[in-house]
Amino acid sequence: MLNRLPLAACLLAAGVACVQPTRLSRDDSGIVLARQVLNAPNPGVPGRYAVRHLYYGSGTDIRRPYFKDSVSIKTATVDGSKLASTEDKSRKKYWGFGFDKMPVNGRVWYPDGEGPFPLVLIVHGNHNMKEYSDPGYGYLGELLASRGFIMVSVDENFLNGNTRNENDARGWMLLKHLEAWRAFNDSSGKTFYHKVDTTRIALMGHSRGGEAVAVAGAFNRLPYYPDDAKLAFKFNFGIRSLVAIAPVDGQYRPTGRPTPVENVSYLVIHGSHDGDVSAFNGLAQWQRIKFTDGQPHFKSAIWMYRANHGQWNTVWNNKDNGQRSERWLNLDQLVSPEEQRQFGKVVITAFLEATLRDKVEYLPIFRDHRVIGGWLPKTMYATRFEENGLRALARFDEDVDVTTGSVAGVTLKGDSLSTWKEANVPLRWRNATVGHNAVWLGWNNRLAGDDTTKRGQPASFSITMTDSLRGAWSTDTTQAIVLSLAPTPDAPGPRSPPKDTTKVDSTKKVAAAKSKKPPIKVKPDSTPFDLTVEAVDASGNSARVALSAYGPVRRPLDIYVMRRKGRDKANYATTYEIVLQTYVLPLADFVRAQPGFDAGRLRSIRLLFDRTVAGTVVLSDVGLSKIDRGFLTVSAPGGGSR
Amino acid sequence: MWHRLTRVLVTLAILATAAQGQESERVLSVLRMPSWPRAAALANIGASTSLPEGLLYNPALAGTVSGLAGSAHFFGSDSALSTVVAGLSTGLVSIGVGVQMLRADLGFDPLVDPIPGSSLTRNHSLTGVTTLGGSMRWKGMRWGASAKYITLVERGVDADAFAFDVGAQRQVGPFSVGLAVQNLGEGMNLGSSDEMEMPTRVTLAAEGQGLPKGAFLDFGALAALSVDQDGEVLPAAGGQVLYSPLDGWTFSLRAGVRRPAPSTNERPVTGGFAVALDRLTIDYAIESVKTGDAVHRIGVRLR
Repeated sequence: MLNRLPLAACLLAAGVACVQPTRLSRDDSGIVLARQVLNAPNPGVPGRYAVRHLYYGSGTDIRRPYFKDSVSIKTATVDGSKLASTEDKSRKKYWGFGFDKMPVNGRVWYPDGEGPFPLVLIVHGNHNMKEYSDPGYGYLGELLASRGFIMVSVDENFLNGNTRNENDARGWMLLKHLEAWRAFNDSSGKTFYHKVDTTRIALMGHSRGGEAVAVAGAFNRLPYYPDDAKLAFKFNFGIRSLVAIAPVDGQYRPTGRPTPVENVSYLVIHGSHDGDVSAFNGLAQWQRIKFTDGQPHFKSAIWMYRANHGQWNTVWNNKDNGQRSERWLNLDQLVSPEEQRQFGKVVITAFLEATLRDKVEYLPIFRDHRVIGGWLPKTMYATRFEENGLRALARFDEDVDVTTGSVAGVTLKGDSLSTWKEANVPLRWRNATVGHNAVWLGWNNRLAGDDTTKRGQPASFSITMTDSLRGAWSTDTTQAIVLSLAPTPDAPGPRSPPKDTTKVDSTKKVAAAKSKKPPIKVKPDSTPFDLTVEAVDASGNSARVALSAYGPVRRPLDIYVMRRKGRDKANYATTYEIVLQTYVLPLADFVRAQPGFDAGRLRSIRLLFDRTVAGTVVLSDVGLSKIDRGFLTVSAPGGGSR
Repeated sequence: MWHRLTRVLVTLAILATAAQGQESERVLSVLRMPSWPRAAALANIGASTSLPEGLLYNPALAGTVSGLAGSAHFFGSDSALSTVVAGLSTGLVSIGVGVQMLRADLGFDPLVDPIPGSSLTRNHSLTGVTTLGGSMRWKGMRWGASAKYITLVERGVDADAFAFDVGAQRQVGPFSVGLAVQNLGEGMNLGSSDEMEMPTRVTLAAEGQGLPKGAFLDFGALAALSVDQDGEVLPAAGGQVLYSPLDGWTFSLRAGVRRPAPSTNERPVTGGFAVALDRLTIDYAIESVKTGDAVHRIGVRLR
């Protein structure tokens, strides 16, 4: 027995060595979320209405009594066989119906009041079809109903399980539910007669449901089903906003292209430690949301560090990889389910209050999450933001010329950069991107040589407008510079010293000698990352602000989702996600910093890499915005107009 | 249901006995021995197991899993069976190849009169089996066939023979169900009146895998009903507990119980364990036999 102990000890040691220890980036929430600046009622706490509940549906469900005997309003089934086709016998046997008779089942939380109330539909994503997903959003239903919204959790469990290419059906079903709600609202004597504000509708979805809301948003305006025009659409509902929770993207591609969505406000949230949709896939749809009608829309993407996929749903919880998730995934590093849902409650309710009830006091949250430091669970976040007032100077995906911007009259120029290239922003998944370009800017201000204190002039990148463009856009202090940026882990080596033209070949020899040395392994830089944004007017007057005053500037955060050591590196392209943070820098702040600067004659915007010696950033969506003042009413300490 | 099952079993029994024709005192034992430690630990049930070595129990399983497996079986006396099986899963047809080599201790040669003062030398036979099988899916089932070439060297006599297996396998809910008819063919003629019969066997087996208990434990169970060349109906059942503390690591504990064929020296109870570390699996089985010493089997599988 005793002589077997070493073997057992070896096995135990090997097991311990194979387990990935919890590896999280240093949390800065104590500083970033130190203050609650926004002075408004916390949207994460219940409102004044008593909450009532009911079910509607086919009334014939053989699996769930609440969609059979407890149904208060009966609805007709709908034929979705043109949209969902991968049906097998066992599925039909289990549910007792096929895709040609899909039930319009929903569980409703609604306020006990007169109304009319905005209507919010939420739909789950794919999961074990026998573990019903629709009850999992009750925490949102209770909250929203108490605050004067009617919330419906839509049953699409019959589309779950081993199905493929059915996200068009999931989206279409949401619109069929809205058809039912139009009828509920028009039926005199019924529970919801004239209680629904059909001009204020939001759709929310989780996972595949997150893609489904974008599909529904696109279908809502179409006359026909894009993949089979024999199916006519007559929707045109008053959908004002869409919320995607950890969504997938591209599982359905109408006519073979990514789903285009226009003129709705859009919120997408995603967890860094998602063990299912393990890349921020929703950023692709976020990029594709366009505002073309001049109405006040906005879109925001908030990435929550240490959040997973399932904890947004109380049924799914931390089983991102199925019932045996603990075997595969390191669950110890997740935020608690309560914290994750609290974040969801705050941002989703604030978004719905802002977009369906015009409560502009919540708008700053979607520009800079730091303004609600007191409401957010203490972890790290990144926020993408864009509103309809943005005029892009450089989105980096118009052409292959790195010196041209998005509109004629914009010139891009790099100085002393080690890296300057445009490429598609990658996702953590291998060979996946957000489908949108950015520019990579790398620099090292240190000069090569033995003297490690020697620095060259700071590298910079400038975006310059012609006089005619400036005149056409008529900039002023009510506008803001908007840019989205994320540091990467890469830091180029020291730059070659400038040539001394008085000495023939002197630097050449030094450089040649240096280049023979083996590369030095540099420790990851842990100093705070920052840079200067400089605005220059036509007279050459410049004003400078620190970027970090307008949002957190962080190096990529570590993401190790798997429990087994080495699995993350094997499964994913990177152990971090490049999530660009959007910074909104009011031109008034530049005037305040340098009173001689004339915002009305803004000529160029320059990123000056003078606060971090070496690094690489990914930059995209640089522009000027006639931003709604509602977004700027409050700002986190250190930056922004009041 | 039971009526249908009874009919199937009766048919299988008739098939098996008809295939063999008459009882034989000697059979090619290498063809009915447990081919793999996993199966040996689980009462020699393998006709429904989708692993490379499944080829040796049911050709419908040939190549269903790509990989290479090798095992050695050590018998109490000076005997050993070595097995190497490879599977290659392709788009249409999957292929499996197996080679088995049995070195069996035949004891002292009764015809040799020892020189006074010297010890008797033991005799060994050497049996080689090469199996080539293929399987494919058709009408919702996997069908397979394999051919075996058997060579035997025993007491200075060389002989060879061919045998054939056919089988089918289907997933029924959480169960893999396999049906195999093995070792069809003429017996092996060793000259004079000595002949070795094929151990023809018809087996219906089912295996259920992965009944989870919590995040780290799984239970598996399997059962089989075989009818051998003597018409004996041989039920068997087995179970295993799998503990997976970490993705890629699995520790299995196995046990089986069966009705041994009367013509063999097998005992009813079998057992074993396995350690799987990523692509490498080490299987161990122990089987007690009527002659006294236990049979130890060790296998290594590389996926």
